[in-house]
Amino acid sequence: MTPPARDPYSEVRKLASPFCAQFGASRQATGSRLMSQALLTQTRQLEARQHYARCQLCEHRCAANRLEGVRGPCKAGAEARVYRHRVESGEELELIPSHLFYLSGCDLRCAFCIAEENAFDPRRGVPLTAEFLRQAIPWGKAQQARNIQWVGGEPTIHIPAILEAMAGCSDLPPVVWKSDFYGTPEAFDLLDDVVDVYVADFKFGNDACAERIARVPNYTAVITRNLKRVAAAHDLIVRHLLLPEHFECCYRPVAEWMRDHLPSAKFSIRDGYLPKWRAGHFAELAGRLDPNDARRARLLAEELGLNVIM
Amino acid sequence: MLSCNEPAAPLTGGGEERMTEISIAPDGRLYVFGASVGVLEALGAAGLGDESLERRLACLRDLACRTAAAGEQAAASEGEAGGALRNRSTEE
Repeated sequence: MTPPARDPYSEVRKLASPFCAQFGASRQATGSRLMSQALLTQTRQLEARQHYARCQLCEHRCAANRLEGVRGPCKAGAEARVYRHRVESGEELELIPSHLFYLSGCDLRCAFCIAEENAFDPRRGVPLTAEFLRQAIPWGKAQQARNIQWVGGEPTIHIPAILEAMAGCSDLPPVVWKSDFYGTPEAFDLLDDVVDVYVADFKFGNDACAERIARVPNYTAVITRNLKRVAAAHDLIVRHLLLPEHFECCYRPVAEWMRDHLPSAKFSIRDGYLPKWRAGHFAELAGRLDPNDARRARLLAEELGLNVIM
Repeated sequence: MLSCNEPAAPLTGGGEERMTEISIAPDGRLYVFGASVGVLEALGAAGLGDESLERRLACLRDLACRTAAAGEQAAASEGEAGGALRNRSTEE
């Protein structure tokens, strides 16, 4: 008699850890992960690959033919590259230890990006393949990682490669998707039932700052649409990195929007701003965050009744 | 000197993936990027952390204990199941 196939992450899923307990009992079911894996079908992968021929993965909607070497705003081609992967424990407590896979290339151009050249040059790193992932995931598991987390740059522009790589792995841990949330509905459709937890960077509270600092149009309409969509059906953490002198124009609108639309969503206030990359091009971003802003931010979040987790 | 042992992440080469970046602000605040458990433990042992670091380390230690305990329990269950199967096949 052959014993039933065992999910190697079943014990992690059953633990009443902050991750499992707070993210819903349904995520603990072994069956849900095995079912999700089945959804990484040839059909889903083919649908994703169509974007290489006419890319509509992010709201730039450049329609670039990445197979023919045409580059859109993200400059990405028809492959994804991993410039770093490591098990990190500085993330939200719900996620740690988390095995992060950093992909090069991004659809935004945030002047303060801490990943610097790695974020914006999609040629950096080693190709992401199923073989790469099959070797990397056990390494992460040996370091006690509880999940794999796709980060960037921006993973949305690499959805086809990511889905193909994951489809080639038999023992996928829970999947965390950390994103700028500037993706299209078509992109989020491709991730349905594949991603366990979304982590959204709600960077700017208005379109003017987003356009000026990250060179991205229609920012608030896109991100709020996507946040509402994802929150309706998935586990979500919303992050905001406090920027120097952007409390009133960015943080307050973000916090108030959260109160009005996603009051119970997990909210992570990041106060570790450092002036990296081209932050020096903007006078207010060239310095460090005033510690008072961090205190004010938490106070405001408390006043608004937000569910602050970090 | 702070030290911790971590295995190198395979496949990306260069060694950059092993580096934790720590920036120290003039007012003494530490900014840590790429924090492994080992690095956090080393910072805590050196007295360089605050309350949030202590909470984080406590969470990680708790998780490690629970994972180890759950793993032992699973191994024991598999051992019992294997024994039952072996006993049954012997009887058959």
